[in-house]
Amino acid sequence: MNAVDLEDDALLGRLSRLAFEADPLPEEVLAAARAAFETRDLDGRLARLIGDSLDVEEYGVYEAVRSEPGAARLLSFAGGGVQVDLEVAPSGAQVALIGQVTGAAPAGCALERPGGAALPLAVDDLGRFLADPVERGPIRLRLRSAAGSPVLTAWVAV
Amino acid sequence: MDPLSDVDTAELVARVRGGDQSAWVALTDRYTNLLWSVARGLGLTRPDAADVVQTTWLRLVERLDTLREPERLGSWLATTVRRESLATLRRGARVRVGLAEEVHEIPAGGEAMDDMLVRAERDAALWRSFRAMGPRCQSLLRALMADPPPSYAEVSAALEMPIGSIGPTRQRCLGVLRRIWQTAAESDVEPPEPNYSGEGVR
Repeated sequence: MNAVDLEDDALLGRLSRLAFEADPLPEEVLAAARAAFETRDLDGRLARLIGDSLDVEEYGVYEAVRSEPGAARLLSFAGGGVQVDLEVAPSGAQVALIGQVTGAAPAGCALERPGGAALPLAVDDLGRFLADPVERGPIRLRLRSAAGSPVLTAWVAV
Repeated sequence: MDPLSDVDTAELVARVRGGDQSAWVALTDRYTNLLWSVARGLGLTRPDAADVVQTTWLRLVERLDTLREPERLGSWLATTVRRESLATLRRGARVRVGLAEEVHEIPAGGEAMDDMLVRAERDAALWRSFRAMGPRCQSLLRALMADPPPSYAEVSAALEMPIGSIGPTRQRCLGVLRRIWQTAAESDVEPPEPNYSGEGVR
């Protein structure tokens, strides 16, 4: 290892110590990471994220509607015999969720938070629901497939 | 010393799959600081970084049993937090009560010992110089500051940068940083405001 490498390592070490002071990992972020394990659900089938208008590189499906900042975000989930299309629109400092579920029983749908809180969702005969306002942060939907088995969407930060 | 801190990641994943809570804690101890560093290095506010780090861990919980290549978990987490971070940046920042964006001043020591004060001032100038760098250098160096230090494979995943270019880019960025820091010390003026137009984000 030459002198420049040693100097670089020393400078980076100094920066690491500074980051620890100037931009510390908040205790609540570590606590949330640890608590995430409690959301494990071995019974529910996963409806994966298959479309996200904010991530067109990964999910090309919404390329046509790529839009200006502040517009609604469009999310799609599929799995366990269920499809969910979700529009996330700003609602003041919070958001409004406008959803359409296909293949799910209308009863027993809920919006879940990482801490275990669940908000029942009123889904109409056509599979539509509205939740407004919703606090920002990670959410997932709990559904019941037409066959009666529990289905959970992937977590998304709205 | 945590007895699980030496256990390799694939083994921890296997134990977590079996329901071992302490193995999960060991995984979060190993990677949460890196995920935070990646999100902050990409320019997210502290509240937004908190959300994407939490979402990344929630995604891992739901994928635990289908995750391929558990030995590469660090890279999977780094890729996930990067994508979540970029989506959040496209959505636009927000402010939330409770975890407000803070400007952390480097403490000036307190004791009236001249050399300590000089060192604190030099540290504060170094941090300001880092914050004045282009986004590409900031995101790379911030990821490399994580504790424990990430592997180059994890940095590569976090920044979508070929492994082979991390070493040379690190050297170049640290060189740029030294020049900004030196210039600030010589002219005794504040370095320029954080610059987000000098280099492309990607």
